[in-house]
Amino acid sequence: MTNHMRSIVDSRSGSIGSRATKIYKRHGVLVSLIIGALVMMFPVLWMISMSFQPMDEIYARTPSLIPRHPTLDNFFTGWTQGGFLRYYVNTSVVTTCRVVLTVIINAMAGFAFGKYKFRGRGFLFVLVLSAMMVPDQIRMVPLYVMFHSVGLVNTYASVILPGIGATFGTFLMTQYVRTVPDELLDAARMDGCSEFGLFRQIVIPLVTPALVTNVIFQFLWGWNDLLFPLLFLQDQSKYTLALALANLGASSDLSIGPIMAMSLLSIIPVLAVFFVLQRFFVQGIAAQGVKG
Amino acid sequence: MWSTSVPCRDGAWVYMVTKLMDRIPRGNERHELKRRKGSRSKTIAPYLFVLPNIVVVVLFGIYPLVDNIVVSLTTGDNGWSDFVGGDNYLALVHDSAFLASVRNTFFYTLMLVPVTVIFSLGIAIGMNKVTRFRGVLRAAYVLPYLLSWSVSGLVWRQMFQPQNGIINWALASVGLPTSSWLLDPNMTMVSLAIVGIWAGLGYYMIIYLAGLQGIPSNLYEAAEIDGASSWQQFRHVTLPGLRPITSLVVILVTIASFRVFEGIYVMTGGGPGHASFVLVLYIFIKAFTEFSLGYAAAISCVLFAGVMIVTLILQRLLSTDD
Repeated sequence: MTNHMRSIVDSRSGSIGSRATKIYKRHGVLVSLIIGALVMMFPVLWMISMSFQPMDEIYARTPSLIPRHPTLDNFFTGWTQGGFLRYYVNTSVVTTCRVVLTVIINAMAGFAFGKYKFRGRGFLFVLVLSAMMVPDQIRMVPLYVMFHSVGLVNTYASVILPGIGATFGTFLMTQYVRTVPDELLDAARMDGCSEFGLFRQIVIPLVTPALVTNVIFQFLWGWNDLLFPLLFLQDQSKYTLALALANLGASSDLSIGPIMAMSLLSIIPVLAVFFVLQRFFVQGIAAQGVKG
Repeated sequence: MWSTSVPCRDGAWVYMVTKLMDRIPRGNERHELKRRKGSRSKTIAPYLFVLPNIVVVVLFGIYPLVDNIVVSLTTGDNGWSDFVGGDNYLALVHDSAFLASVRNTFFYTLMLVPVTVIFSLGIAIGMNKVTRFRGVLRAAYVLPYLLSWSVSGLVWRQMFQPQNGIINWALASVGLPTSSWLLDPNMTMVSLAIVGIWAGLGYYMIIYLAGLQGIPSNLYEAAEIDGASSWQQFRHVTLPGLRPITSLVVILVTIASFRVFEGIYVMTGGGPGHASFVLVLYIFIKAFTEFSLGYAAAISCVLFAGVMIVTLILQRLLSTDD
């Protein structure tokens, strides 16, 4: 209901009784949403709480929601024994490469699809959409065979290359580039600007919001990716955070406290990006439902 | 400015199917192409611009799909030399682990789709009504979507612990029966579905929220003037207005459920027994622990066909122009 609507409703409700019911109703919605939000957040809050609990408290019969004897031991143990600095660096390298490569090639392709008419344009666009619609999980075996035959298994490349997105961002950029006025491009061409110059100097500055949206999603997917590291990385020294955590969970090298502490540290970059750039993030998801 | 953009690979798939189906009855396609020819660019610049993107698509998108079919016809050890034809596919029929995986995948999907649709719609409608704390609430609901499967899997596994997990403690302290959750063969898929619903809810809620904001407010005003109750408004304005969004969400959740893997790998690894084997997990086990690449490729092909068929059926069933 829009605010406008609500004012109509409010002005119509005559008696005090019905007004009270309405206020109760509105707060009822808010209260249920807050309860729902607490349920949704609970696992994360619980992870934070466990990170600061000493071992005997985690395994106590009565769990303490707020640590009774908060400690940083879990962080020290996890960080030193688990070798998390290494995983942090690996994840940053892999994610940065994925994001940079993806965002650049998506922007270029989006520019071409959005602003040029060329033979095969429709076909190539459908190709872009159709190829990557196949879930990553279905391409596990052939990708492994491919990387194995060229000796890329157990390299960062095997995690970065299949992680390059060629659909989501291309789509986003194509839509956004269309909003750049043709007159602007034509005027620059008259001034002797090269086609690449148009892209770099005119289009890129005008499509920054779409670029940011793409960066956020590629960063999120890259940072959190468990599939490709799980399939292709074998040396522990090359593990990413997601893979290291998954493996630690399966082994008994670390107890749950340090694992929770390291899980918490691993999500901080994502949370930071999300809270700073929430607007772009929400627009990116919302765009999915808007067809027209 | 956001019109027709469809982020996420599944979204693109849905868009594709929609476009292809739009295409079939139209007759003036050729005419349109001709018109386009007139203003065609003369430079090779556009080809250079799309080249890197197309290379990625062909190399990591299309080639693997074709190769998947090829590998599925061999044992997967030495390329073509060990061609076995359809043997891998025939063996699937008698493979009890495969059949369990199919059953579990369907069961998971059947739990996830209705609950996710109803809850994400309900939360979106609530969010659309409140004015205070909107940003905070939205962040809280989206939070699970931001976590890797490793992190959420490990936290939930700890919460589901039968002995000292907080869920059983909470249930016991209010006098409700406890469960072994992930460790109970009858409950493991249900537990995994709970996590799956939790992880995706915020994402689909935002899609619905955008859809709700797209319903023109004058429709509600008209309904109000006609004396429609809020339930009637929901039933006759909101629901029909959200129909395209709902079909999109149903398809997205279905595809996501079909390819569920990472969370299950972290939380149960398929156990106890085969109780939480799903198709992608089975592909993974066959390919990467038993090294039967041909067999794993055959399962991948079956799964791909399944995703395609189910998407097309859903697209038809939920199509808005009937």
